[in-house]
Amino acid sequence: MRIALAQCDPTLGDVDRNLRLHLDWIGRARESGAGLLVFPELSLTGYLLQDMVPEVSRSRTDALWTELAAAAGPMTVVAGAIEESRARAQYIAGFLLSDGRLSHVHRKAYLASYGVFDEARYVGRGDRVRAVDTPVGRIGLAICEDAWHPSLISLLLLDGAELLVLQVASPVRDLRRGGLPHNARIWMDTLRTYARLFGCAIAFCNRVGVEDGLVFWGHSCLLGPDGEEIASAPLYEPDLLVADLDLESVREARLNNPVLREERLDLTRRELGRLLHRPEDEG
Amino acid sequence: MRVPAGLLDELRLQEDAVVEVLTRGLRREVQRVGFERVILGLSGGLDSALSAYLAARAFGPEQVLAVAMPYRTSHPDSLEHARLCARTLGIELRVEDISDAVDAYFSRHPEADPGRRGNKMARERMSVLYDLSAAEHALVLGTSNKTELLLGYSTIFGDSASAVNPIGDLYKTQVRQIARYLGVPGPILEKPPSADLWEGQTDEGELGFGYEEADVLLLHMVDRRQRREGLVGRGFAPDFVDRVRELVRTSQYKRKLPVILKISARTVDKDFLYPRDWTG
Repeated sequence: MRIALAQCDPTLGDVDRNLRLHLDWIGRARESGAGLLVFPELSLTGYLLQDMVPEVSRSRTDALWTELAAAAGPMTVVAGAIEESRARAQYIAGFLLSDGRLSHVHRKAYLASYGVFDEARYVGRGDRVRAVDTPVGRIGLAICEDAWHPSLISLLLLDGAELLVLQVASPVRDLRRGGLPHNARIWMDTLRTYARLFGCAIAFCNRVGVEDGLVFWGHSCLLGPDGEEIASAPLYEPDLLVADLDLESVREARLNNPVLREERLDLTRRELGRLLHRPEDEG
Repeated sequence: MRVPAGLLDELRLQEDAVVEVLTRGLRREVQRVGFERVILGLSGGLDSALSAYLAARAFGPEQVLAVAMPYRTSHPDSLEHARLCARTLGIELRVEDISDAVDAYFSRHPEADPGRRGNKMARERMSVLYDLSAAEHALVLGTSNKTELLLGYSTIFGDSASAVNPIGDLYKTQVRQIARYLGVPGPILEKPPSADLWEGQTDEGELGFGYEEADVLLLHMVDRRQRREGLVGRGFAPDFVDRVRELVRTSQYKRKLPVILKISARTVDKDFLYPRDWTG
Protein backbone atom coordinates (compact mmCIF):
# COMPACT_ATOMS: atom_id res chain seq x y z
CA MET A 1 0.00 0.00 0.00
CA ARG A 2 1.23 3.47 -0.87
CA ILE A 3 0.73 6.17 1.75
CA ALA A 4 1.11 9.92 1.22
CA LEU A 5 1.59 12.44 4.03
CA ALA A 6 0.72 16.05 3.21
CA GLN A 7 3.17 18.06 5.31
CA CYS A 8 1.57 21.34 4.35
CA ASP A 9 1.43 24.92 5.62
CA PRO A 10 -2.24 25.94 5.80
CA THR A 11 -3.30 29.58 5.90
CA LEU A 12 -4.75 30.51 9.28
CA GLY A 13 -8.50 31.09 9.09
CA ASP A 14 -8.84 30.84 5.30
CA VAL A 15 -10.83 27.66 4.59
CA ASP A 16 -11.40 28.46 0.91
CA ARG A 17 -7.73 28.87 0.25
CA ASN A 18 -6.89 25.75 2.25
CA LEU A 19 -9.51 23.80 0.33
CA ARG A 20 -7.72 24.68 -2.91
CA LEU A 21 -4.47 23.54 -1.31
CA HIS A 22 -6.10 20.24 -0.35
CA LEU A 23 -7.49 19.71 -3.85
CA ASP A 24 -4.05 20.39 -5.31
CA TRP A 25 -2.27 17.96 -2.96
CA ILE A 26 -5.00 15.34 -3.45
CA GLY A 27 -4.30 15.53 -7.18
CA ARG A 28 -0.58 15.12 -6.62
CA ALA A 29 -1.07 12.21 -4.23
CA ARG A 30 -3.37 10.44 -6.69
CA GLU A 31 -0.75 10.83 -9.41
CA SER A 32 1.74 9.14 -7.11
CA GLY A 33 -0.60 6.16 -6.81
CA ALA A 34 -1.26 6.61 -3.09
CA GLY A 35 -4.16 4.70 -1.52
CA LEU A 36 -4.17 6.93 1.55
CA LEU A 37 -3.42 10.63 1.97
CA VAL A 38 -3.15 12.17 5.43
CA PHE A 39 -3.27 15.90 6.19
CA PRO A 40 -2.18 17.35 9.57
CA GLU A 41 -4.37 18.56 12.43
CA LEU A 42 -6.68 21.44 11.42
CA SER A 43 -5.30 21.36 7.88
CA LEU A 44 -8.34 23.17 6.48
CA THR A 45 -8.32 25.98 9.04
CA GLY A 46 -4.87 26.50 10.52
CA TYR A 47 -4.13 25.89 14.18
CA LEU A 48 -4.14 29.05 16.34
CA LEU A 49 -7.77 29.93 15.68
CA GLN A 50 -8.93 31.27 19.05
CA ASP A 51 -12.18 33.20 18.43
CA MET A 52 -12.13 32.19 14.76
CA VAL A 53 -13.24 28.68 15.79
CA PRO A 54 -16.99 29.23 15.23
CA GLU A 55 -16.25 31.27 12.11
CA VAL A 56 -14.43 28.43 10.30
CA SER A 57 -16.37 25.43 11.66
CA ARG A 58 -18.16 23.04 9.28
CA SER A 59 -20.85 20.44 9.85
CA ARG A 60 -20.61 16.84 8.67
CA THR A 61 -23.12 17.66 5.94
CA ASP A 62 -21.15 20.58 4.53
CA ALA A 63 -20.64 20.52 0.75
CA LEU A 64 -16.91 20.77 1.40
CA TRP A 65 -16.76 17.05 2.20
CA THR A 66 -18.55 16.09 -0.99
CA GLU A 67 -16.08 18.13 -2.99
CA LEU A 68 -13.05 16.65 -1.24
CA ALA A 69 -14.41 13.10 -1.45
CA ALA A 70 -15.09 13.49 -5.15
CA ALA A 71 -11.56 14.75 -5.72
CA ALA A 72 -10.16 11.87 -3.69
CA GLY A 73 -11.84 9.28 -5.93
CA PRO A 74 -10.68 5.81 -4.88
CA MET A 75 -8.04 7.25 -2.54
CA THR A 76 -8.76 7.50 1.21
CA VAL A 77 -8.14 11.00 2.58
CA VAL A 78 -7.89 12.22 6.17
CA ALA A 79 -8.24 15.98 6.58
CA GLY A 80 -8.40 18.21 9.66
CA ALA A 81 -10.98 20.87 10.47
CA ILE A 82 -13.27 22.32 13.13
CA GLU A 83 -16.51 20.36 13.28
CA GLU A 84 -19.75 22.04 14.34
CA SER A 85 -22.07 19.43 15.80
CA ARG A 86 -25.84 19.33 15.43
CA ALA A 87 -25.96 20.72 18.95
CA ARG A 88 -23.86 23.66 17.64
CA ALA A 89 -20.73 22.78 19.61
CA GLN A 90 -17.29 22.93 18.02
CA TYR A 91 -14.65 20.19 18.03
CA ILE A 92 -11.20 19.72 16.58
CA ALA A 93 -11.82 16.79 14.27
CA GLY A 94 -10.29 14.44 11.75
CA PHE A 95 -12.48 13.76 8.72
CA LEU A 96 -11.94 10.48 6.90
CA LEU A 97 -13.14 10.37 3.31
CA SER A 98 -13.35 7.07 1.48
CA ASP A 99 -15.54 5.48 -1.20
CA GLY A 100 -16.58 8.95 -2.33
CA ARG A 101 -18.05 10.10 0.97
CA LEU A 102 -17.33 11.25 4.51
CA SER A 103 -17.14 7.88 6.26
CA HIS A 104 -15.71 8.65 9.71
CA VAL A 105 -15.11 11.58 12.02
CA HIS A 106 -12.83 11.53 15.05
CA ARG A 107 -13.26 14.35 17.55
CA LYS A 108 -10.07 15.14 19.45
CA ALA A 109 -10.63 13.65 22.89
CA TYR A 110 -7.60 15.05 24.70
CA LEU A 111 -7.23 18.79 24.27
CA ALA A 112 -3.96 20.57 24.84
CA SER A 113 -4.49 23.40 27.33
CA TYR A 114 -1.10 24.10 28.85
CA GLY A 115 2.07 25.86 27.78
CA VAL A 116 1.36 27.68 24.52
CA PHE A 117 -1.89 25.75 24.00
CA ASP A 118 -5.38 26.83 25.04
CA GLU A 119 -7.70 24.51 23.14
CA ALA A 120 -10.20 23.72 25.88
CA ARG A 121 -11.28 27.35 25.98
CA TYR A 122 -12.50 27.19 22.40
CA VAL A 123 -13.62 23.63 21.62
CA GLY A 124 -15.29 20.65 23.24
CA ARG A 125 -13.72 17.26 23.97
CA GLY A 126 -14.65 14.26 21.87
CA ASP A 127 -15.81 11.18 23.78
CA ARG A 128 -15.65 8.38 21.21
CA VAL A 129 -12.71 6.26 20.16
CA ARG A 130 -13.30 3.91 17.24
CA ALA A 131 -11.10 2.14 14.74
CA VAL A 132 -12.52 2.29 11.24
CA ASP A 133 -12.40 0.00 8.22
CA THR A 134 -11.20 1.66 5.04
CA PRO A 135 -10.16 0.40 1.60
CA VAL A 136 -6.58 0.54 2.90
CA GLY A 137 -7.08 -1.44 6.10
CA ARG A 138 -8.38 -0.80 9.57
CA ILE A 139 -7.27 2.62 10.76
CA GLY A 140 -7.01 4.18 14.20
CA LEU A 141 -7.27 7.94 13.83
CA ALA A 142 -6.05 10.25 16.59
CA ILE A 143 -5.16 13.92 16.80
CA CYS A 144 -1.99 15.29 18.37
CA GLU A 145 -2.57 15.42 22.15
CA ASP A 146 -4.65 12.22 21.85
CA ALA A 147 -1.40 10.40 21.16
CA TRP A 148 0.07 11.46 24.49
CA HIS A 149 -2.53 9.31 26.22
CA PRO A 150 -1.59 5.64 25.89
CA SER A 151 -5.10 4.69 27.01
CA LEU A 152 -6.60 6.22 23.86
CA ILE A 153 -3.98 4.63 21.61
CA SER A 154 -4.57 1.27 23.34
CA LEU A 155 -8.31 1.54 22.71
CA LEU A 156 -7.77 2.15 18.99
CA LEU A 157 -5.47 -0.85 18.73
CA LEU A 158 -7.69 -3.08 20.84
CA ASP A 159 -10.46 -2.09 18.45
CA GLY A 160 -8.42 -3.67 15.70
CA ALA A 161 -6.44 -0.84 14.14
CA GLU A 162 -3.45 -1.96 12.09
CA LEU A 163 -2.37 1.51 11.10
CA LEU A 164 -2.36 4.46 13.47
CA VAL A 165 -2.97 7.73 11.66
CA LEU A 166 -1.84 10.74 13.70
CA GLN A 167 -2.74 14.27 12.66
CA VAL A 168 -0.45 16.70 14.41
CA ALA A 169 0.26 20.43 14.78
CA SER A 170 3.37 20.56 16.94
CA PRO A 171 5.51 23.69 17.30
CA VAL A 172 9.19 23.87 18.24
CA ARG A 173 9.85 23.80 21.96
CA ASP A 174 13.38 23.80 23.36
CA LEU A 175 16.31 23.94 20.95
CA ARG A 176 19.14 23.21 23.27
CA ARG A 177 20.32 20.30 21.16
CA GLY A 178 20.80 19.99 17.43
CA GLY A 179 18.70 18.25 14.81
CA LEU A 180 15.20 17.67 16.09
CA PRO A 181 13.75 20.06 18.69
CA HIS A 182 13.51 18.47 22.13
CA ASN A 183 9.74 17.91 21.94
CA ALA A 184 10.15 16.31 18.49
CA ARG A 185 12.60 13.79 19.95
CA ILE A 186 10.04 12.85 22.58
CA TRP A 187 7.40 12.46 19.86
CA MET A 188 9.65 10.14 17.86
CA ASP A 189 10.56 8.05 20.92
CA THR A 190 6.88 7.72 21.77
CA LEU A 191 5.89 6.70 18.24
CA ARG A 192 8.63 4.09 18.05
CA THR A 193 7.50 2.68 21.36
CA TYR A 194 3.86 2.45 20.28
CA ALA A 195 4.82 0.77 17.00
CA ARG A 196 7.02 -1.83 18.69
CA LEU A 197 4.78 -2.40 21.68
CA PHE A 198 1.57 -2.92 19.74
CA GLY A 199 2.97 -4.10 16.40
CA CYS A 200 1.24 -1.35 14.46
CA ALA A 201 2.27 0.87 11.58
CA ILE A 202 2.12 4.61 12.18
CA ALA A 203 1.50 7.47 9.78
CA PHE A 204 2.51 10.67 11.58
CA CYS A 205 1.65 13.89 9.75
CA ASN A 206 2.84 17.14 11.34
CA ARG A 207 2.40 20.53 9.69
CA VAL A 208 4.96 23.21 8.92
CA GLY A 209 4.68 27.00 8.84
CA VAL A 210 4.54 29.70 11.51
CA GLU A 211 1.63 31.13 13.50
CA ASP A 212 2.16 33.93 16.03
CA GLY A 213 5.79 32.97 16.50
CA LEU A 214 5.08 29.24 16.83
CA VAL A 215 7.23 27.35 14.31
CA PHE A 216 5.72 23.98 13.35
CA TRP A 217 8.48 21.47 12.74
CA GLY A 218 7.05 18.95 10.27
CA HIS A 219 9.23 15.81 10.04
CA SER A 220 6.20 13.73 9.12
CA CYS A 221 7.05 10.08 8.94
CA LEU A 222 5.87 6.57 8.30
CA LEU A 223 6.92 3.89 10.80
CA GLY A 224 6.70 0.15 10.32
CA PRO A 225 5.48 -2.13 13.12
CA ASP A 226 9.11 -2.82 14.03
CA GLY A 227 9.36 0.86 15.01
CA GLU A 228 11.77 1.62 12.19
CA GLU A 229 11.27 4.66 10.01
CA ILE A 230 10.21 3.77 6.47
CA ALA A 231 10.41 7.37 5.27
CA SER A 232 10.39 10.87 6.72
CA ALA A 233 9.84 14.40 5.46
CA PRO A 234 12.27 17.26 6.17
CA LEU A 235 12.06 19.63 9.11
CA TYR A 236 10.18 22.91 8.50
CA GLU A 237 9.64 22.53 4.71
CA PRO A 238 6.36 21.62 3.01
CA ASP A 239 6.60 18.16 1.52
CA LEU A 240 4.36 15.47 0.08
CA LEU A 241 5.94 12.35 1.50
CA VAL A 242 5.08 9.18 -0.41
CA ALA A 243 6.15 5.75 0.83
CA ASP A 244 5.06 2.12 0.64
CA LEU A 245 3.87 0.05 3.56
CA ASP A 246 3.09 -3.67 3.56
CA LEU A 247 0.39 -4.35 6.14
CA GLU A 248 1.51 -7.98 6.20
CA SER A 249 4.35 -6.65 8.35
CA VAL A 250 1.76 -5.95 11.04
CA ARG A 251 0.77 -9.61 11.04
CA GLU A 252 4.38 -10.66 11.30
CA ALA A 253 5.05 -8.26 14.19
CA ARG A 254 2.02 -9.49 16.11
CA LEU A 255 2.95 -13.13 15.61
CA ASN A 256 6.36 -12.36 17.02
CA ASN A 257 5.00 -10.35 19.90
CA PRO A 258 1.32 -11.07 20.65
CA VAL A 259 0.85 -8.24 23.15
CA LEU A 260 -2.59 -7.29 21.86
CA ARG A 261 -3.82 -10.88 21.76
CA GLU A 262 -2.87 -11.28 25.41
CA GLU A 263 -4.44 -8.05 26.57
CA ARG A 264 -6.68 -8.62 29.63
CA LEU A 265 -9.70 -6.41 29.01
CA ASP A 266 -11.63 -7.95 31.89
CA LEU A 267 -8.81 -7.27 34.30
CA THR A 268 -8.42 -3.71 33.00
CA ARG A 269 -12.13 -3.01 33.34
CA ARG A 270 -12.25 -4.35 36.87
CA GLU A 271 -9.30 -2.28 38.01
CA LEU A 272 -10.48 0.81 36.16
CA GLY A 273 -13.80 0.46 37.94
CA ARG A 274 -12.01 0.37 41.25
CA LEU A 275 -9.92 3.47 40.36
CA LEU A 276 -13.02 5.33 39.20
CA HIS A 277 -14.71 4.80 42.54
CA ARG A 278 -11.84 5.24 44.92
CA PRO A 279 -12.16 7.91 47.59
CA GLU A 280 -10.99 11.35 46.48
CA ASP A 281 -8.10 11.59 48.92
CA GLU A 282 -6.48 8.44 47.53
CA GLY A 283 -6.31 9.85 43.97
CA MET B 1 27.96 37.13 42.98
CA ARG B 2 29.03 34.23 40.87
CA VAL B 3 27.13 31.69 38.83
CA PRO B 4 26.66 28.38 40.68
CA ALA B 5 29.03 25.79 39.25
CA GLY B 6 27.86 23.88 36.19
CA LEU B 7 24.71 25.90 35.63
CA LEU B 8 25.99 28.15 32.86
CA ASP B 9 26.16 25.21 30.46
CA GLU B 10 22.40 24.84 30.73
CA LEU B 11 21.95 28.07 28.78
CA ARG B 12 23.87 26.76 25.79
CA LEU B 13 21.91 26.40 22.57
CA GLN B 14 22.54 24.46 19.39
CA GLU B 15 23.47 27.43 17.23
CA ASP B 16 22.57 26.13 13.76
CA ALA B 17 19.16 24.85 14.89
CA VAL B 18 18.34 28.17 16.58
CA VAL B 19 19.42 30.24 13.59
CA GLU B 20 17.37 28.08 11.24
CA VAL B 21 14.18 28.38 13.29
CA LEU B 22 14.62 32.11 13.91
CA THR B 23 15.34 33.02 10.29
CA ARG B 24 12.48 30.88 8.97
CA GLY B 25 10.07 32.25 11.52
CA LEU B 26 11.18 35.81 10.91
CA ARG B 27 10.78 35.52 7.16
CA ARG B 28 7.32 34.09 7.51
CA GLU B 29 6.08 36.57 10.10
CA VAL B 30 7.27 39.55 8.04
CA GLN B 31 6.09 38.34 4.65
CA ARG B 32 2.64 37.34 5.86
CA VAL B 33 1.83 40.99 6.64
CA GLY B 34 2.92 42.08 3.19
CA PHE B 35 6.48 43.24 3.80
CA GLU B 36 9.68 42.23 2.04
CA ARG B 37 11.92 44.72 3.84
CA VAL B 38 12.69 45.29 7.49
CA ILE B 39 14.01 48.24 9.47
CA LEU B 40 15.69 48.27 12.85
CA GLY B 41 17.61 50.57 15.13
CA LEU B 42 21.29 49.67 15.16
CA SER B 43 22.76 51.00 18.39
CA GLY B 44 26.23 49.56 18.06
CA GLY B 45 25.40 47.07 20.81
CA LEU B 46 25.08 43.31 20.75
CA ASP B 47 21.30 42.84 20.71
CA SER B 48 20.58 45.00 17.68
CA ALA B 49 23.63 43.55 15.93
CA LEU B 50 22.19 40.04 16.32
CA SER B 51 18.76 41.17 15.09
CA ALA B 52 20.49 42.70 12.06
CA TYR B 53 22.49 39.53 11.39
CA LEU B 54 19.37 37.37 11.60
CA ALA B 55 17.47 39.78 9.35
CA ALA B 56 20.26 39.80 6.76
CA ARG B 57 20.17 35.99 6.76
CA ALA B 58 16.40 35.89 6.48
CA PHE B 59 15.88 38.53 3.80
CA GLY B 60 19.27 39.26 2.25
CA PRO B 61 21.32 42.33 3.22
CA GLU B 62 19.73 44.56 0.57
CA GLN B 63 16.33 44.18 2.31
CA VAL B 64 17.56 45.36 5.71
CA LEU B 65 17.60 49.05 6.59
CA ALA B 66 19.51 49.90 9.76
CA VAL B 67 19.18 53.25 11.47
CA ALA B 68 21.68 54.62 13.97
CA MET B 69 20.07 57.31 16.12
CA PRO B 70 22.74 58.95 18.23
CA TYR B 71 22.10 61.65 20.80
CA ARG B 72 24.83 64.21 21.36
CA THR B 73 26.00 62.49 24.55
CA SER B 74 26.07 59.00 23.02
CA HIS B 75 29.47 57.35 23.17
CA PRO B 76 31.27 57.81 19.83
CA ASP B 77 32.08 54.08 19.82
CA SER B 78 28.35 53.32 19.53
CA LEU B 79 28.04 54.89 16.08
CA GLU B 80 31.39 53.43 15.10
CA HIS B 81 30.25 49.94 16.06
CA ALA B 82 26.95 50.40 14.23
CA ARG B 83 28.93 51.32 11.11
CA LEU B 84 31.21 48.32 11.61
CA CYS B 85 28.21 46.01 11.93
CA ALA B 86 26.45 47.44 8.86
CA ARG B 87 29.64 47.39 6.79
CA THR B 88 30.41 43.78 7.75
CA LEU B 89 26.89 42.70 6.87
CA GLY B 90 26.55 44.84 3.74
CA ILE B 91 23.31 46.46 4.93
CA GLU B 92 22.34 50.10 4.46
CA LEU B 93 22.90 52.30 7.52
CA ARG B 94 21.25 55.67 7.96
CA VAL B 95 22.18 58.07 10.69
CA GLU B 96 19.32 60.04 12.22
CA ASP B 97 20.60 62.28 15.01
CA ILE B 98 17.88 62.73 17.64
CA SER B 99 19.61 65.51 19.61
CA ASP B 100 17.60 68.41 18.17
CA ALA B 101 14.23 66.75 18.69
CA VAL B 102 15.01 65.66 22.25
CA ASP B 103 16.65 68.93 23.22
CA ALA B 104 13.76 70.98 21.83
CA TYR B 105 11.42 69.19 24.20
CA PHE B 106 13.63 69.37 27.26
CA SER B 107 14.37 73.06 26.69
CA ARG B 108 10.89 73.48 28.17
CA HIS B 109 11.61 70.94 30.95
CA PRO B 110 15.17 71.68 32.05
CA GLU B 111 14.56 70.01 35.41
CA ALA B 112 14.18 66.54 33.82
CA ASP B 113 16.36 63.86 35.39
CA PRO B 114 18.48 61.36 33.41
CA GLY B 115 15.75 58.72 33.62
CA ARG B 116 13.18 60.95 31.89
CA ARG B 117 15.74 61.99 29.31
CA GLY B 118 16.76 58.40 28.63
CA ASN B 119 13.16 57.30 28.19
CA LYS B 120 12.45 60.22 25.87
CA MET B 121 15.44 59.23 23.74
CA ALA B 122 14.24 55.64 23.54
CA ARG B 123 10.78 56.81 22.46
CA GLU B 124 12.21 59.30 20.01
CA ARG B 125 14.09 56.44 18.38
CA MET B 126 10.90 54.36 18.24
CA SER B 127 9.11 57.31 16.66
CA VAL B 128 11.81 57.70 13.98
CA LEU B 129 11.75 53.96 13.20
CA TYR B 130 7.97 53.87 12.80
CA ASP B 131 8.04 56.95 10.57
CA LEU B 132 10.74 55.46 8.35
CA SER B 133 8.88 52.16 8.42
CA ALA B 134 5.98 53.83 6.64
CA ALA B 135 8.23 55.81 4.30
CA GLU B 136 10.31 52.79 3.31
CA HIS B 137 7.61 50.12 3.57
CA ALA B 138 9.87 48.18 5.92
CA LEU B 139 8.59 46.37 9.02
CA VAL B 140 10.11 47.34 12.38
CA LEU B 141 12.14 44.57 14.00
CA GLY B 142 12.67 44.39 17.74
CA THR B 143 16.01 44.19 19.50
CA SER B 144 15.00 43.31 23.07
CA ASN B 145 16.37 40.11 24.55
CA LYS B 146 14.54 37.82 26.96
CA THR B 147 16.53 38.96 29.98
CA GLU B 148 15.59 42.60 29.60
CA LEU B 149 12.00 41.75 28.69
CA LEU B 150 11.68 39.74 31.90
CA LEU B 151 13.50 42.24 34.10
CA GLY B 152 11.63 45.17 32.58
CA TYR B 153 14.96 46.76 31.72
CA SER B 154 13.50 48.74 28.86
CA THR B 155 11.43 51.83 28.09
CA ILE B 156 7.75 51.06 27.63
CA PHE B 157 6.68 52.08 24.09
CA GLY B 158 10.33 52.88 23.42
CA ASP B 159 12.94 50.21 22.71
CA SER B 160 10.36 47.57 23.61
CA ALA B 161 8.18 48.53 20.62
CA SER B 162 8.38 46.55 17.38
CA ALA B 163 6.31 44.42 15.02
CA VAL B 164 8.41 41.26 15.22
CA ASN B 165 11.22 40.58 17.66
CA PRO B 166 13.56 37.81 16.50
CA ILE B 167 15.65 37.70 19.70
CA GLY B 168 12.93 38.01 22.36
CA ASP B 169 13.26 34.37 23.47
CA LEU B 170 17.05 34.49 23.84
CA TYR B 171 18.65 35.36 27.16
CA LYS B 172 21.51 37.85 26.96
CA THR B 173 24.06 35.06 27.39
CA GLN B 174 22.41 33.22 24.51
CA VAL B 175 22.38 36.39 22.40
CA ARG B 176 26.14 36.52 22.86
CA GLN B 177 26.53 32.84 21.93
CA ILE B 178 24.48 33.12 18.74
CA ALA B 179 26.06 36.46 17.81
CA ARG B 180 29.51 34.94 18.10
CA TYR B 181 28.40 31.98 15.96
CA LEU B 182 27.10 34.34 13.25
CA GLY B 183 30.32 36.35 13.21
CA VAL B 184 29.30 39.61 14.88
CA PRO B 185 32.55 41.64 15.08
CA GLY B 186 34.71 41.26 18.19
CA PRO B 187 34.48 44.82 19.52
CA ILE B 188 30.68 44.53 19.65
CA LEU B 189 30.84 41.12 21.32
CA GLU B 190 33.34 42.15 23.90
CA LYS B 191 32.25 45.54 25.19
CA PRO B 192 30.13 45.74 28.35
CA PRO B 193 26.38 45.95 27.61
CA SER B 194 25.04 49.50 27.94
CA ALA B 195 21.89 51.41 27.08
CA ASP B 196 24.26 54.36 26.43
CA LEU B 197 21.69 56.85 27.69
CA TRP B 198 24.26 58.67 29.79
CA GLU B 199 27.99 58.59 30.09
CA GLY B 200 29.51 55.59 31.78
CA GLN B 201 26.18 53.75 32.07
CA THR B 202 26.40 49.95 31.95
CA ASP B 203 23.51 47.51 32.28
CA GLU B 204 25.25 45.40 34.86
CA GLY B 205 26.25 48.46 36.89
CA GLU B 206 22.71 49.76 36.87
CA LEU B 207 21.05 46.41 37.58
CA GLY B 208 23.55 45.53 40.27
CA PHE B 209 24.21 42.01 39.00
CA GLY B 210 25.72 40.30 35.97
CA TYR B 211 23.81 38.95 33.00
CA GLU B 212 25.19 35.44 33.29
CA GLU B 213 24.02 35.01 36.87
CA ALA B 214 20.67 36.63 36.05
CA ASP B 215 20.19 34.41 32.99
CA VAL B 216 20.91 31.21 34.85
CA LEU B 217 18.58 32.27 37.63
CA LEU B 218 15.81 33.24 35.19
CA LEU B 219 16.21 29.94 33.34
CA HIS B 220 15.47 28.08 36.56
CA MET B 221 12.88 30.53 37.86
CA VAL B 222 10.91 31.17 34.66
CA ASP B 223 11.51 28.31 32.23
CA ARG B 224 11.74 25.56 34.84
CA ARG B 225 9.36 27.15 37.34
CA GLN B 226 11.48 26.32 40.35
CA ARG B 227 10.40 27.60 43.73
CA ARG B 228 12.43 29.86 45.97
CA GLU B 229 13.72 27.02 48.14
CA GLY B 230 14.87 25.12 45.08
CA LEU B 231 16.69 28.15 43.71
CA VAL B 232 18.41 28.84 47.01
CA GLY B 233 19.26 25.15 47.23
CA ARG B 234 21.00 25.42 43.87
CA GLY B 235 23.29 28.06 45.26
CA PHE B 236 21.56 31.33 44.35
CA ALA B 237 21.74 33.93 47.13
CA PRO B 238 18.28 34.47 48.68
CA ASP B 239 18.42 38.27 48.32
CA PHE B 240 19.42 37.94 44.66
CA VAL B 241 16.50 35.57 44.03
CA ASP B 242 14.09 37.99 45.73
CA ARG B 243 15.46 41.01 43.88
CA VAL B 244 15.12 39.38 40.45
CA ARG B 245 11.66 38.05 41.26
CA GLU B 246 10.53 41.54 42.23
CA LEU B 247 11.93 43.02 39.01
CA VAL B 248 10.03 40.46 36.96
CA ARG B 249 6.81 40.95 38.93
CA THR B 250 6.79 44.73 39.02
CA SER B 251 7.55 45.08 35.29
CA GLN B 252 4.68 42.86 34.13
CA TYR B 253 2.80 45.94 32.83
CA LYS B 254 5.54 46.45 30.26
CA ARG B 255 4.77 43.07 28.74
CA LYS B 256 1.02 43.63 28.41
CA LEU B 257 -1.42 45.79 26.51
CA PRO B 258 -2.99 48.62 28.56
CA VAL B 259 -5.71 47.59 31.01
CA ILE B 260 -9.20 47.94 29.54
CA LEU B 261 -12.18 48.24 31.87
CA LYS B 262 -14.80 45.78 30.74
CA ILE B 263 -18.38 46.90 30.28
CA SER B 264 -19.46 45.25 26.99
CA ALA B 265 -20.14 41.67 25.89
CA ARG B 266 -16.80 41.28 24.16
CA THR B 267 -13.77 43.28 25.12
CA VAL B 268 -10.52 43.69 23.24
CA ASP B 269 -7.77 41.46 24.66
CA LYS B 270 -10.13 39.89 27.25
CA ASP B 271 -12.76 37.87 25.42
CA PHE B 272 -12.17 39.17 21.91
CA LEU B 273 -9.23 36.89 21.26
CA TYR B 274 -7.65 36.50 17.87
CA PRO B 275 -4.10 35.58 17.02
CA ARG B 276 -1.77 38.30 15.85
CA ASP B 277 -1.57 36.39 12.57
CA TRP B 278 -5.33 36.69 11.99
CA THR B 279 -4.45 38.00 8.56
CA GLY B 280 -3.34 34.49 7.58
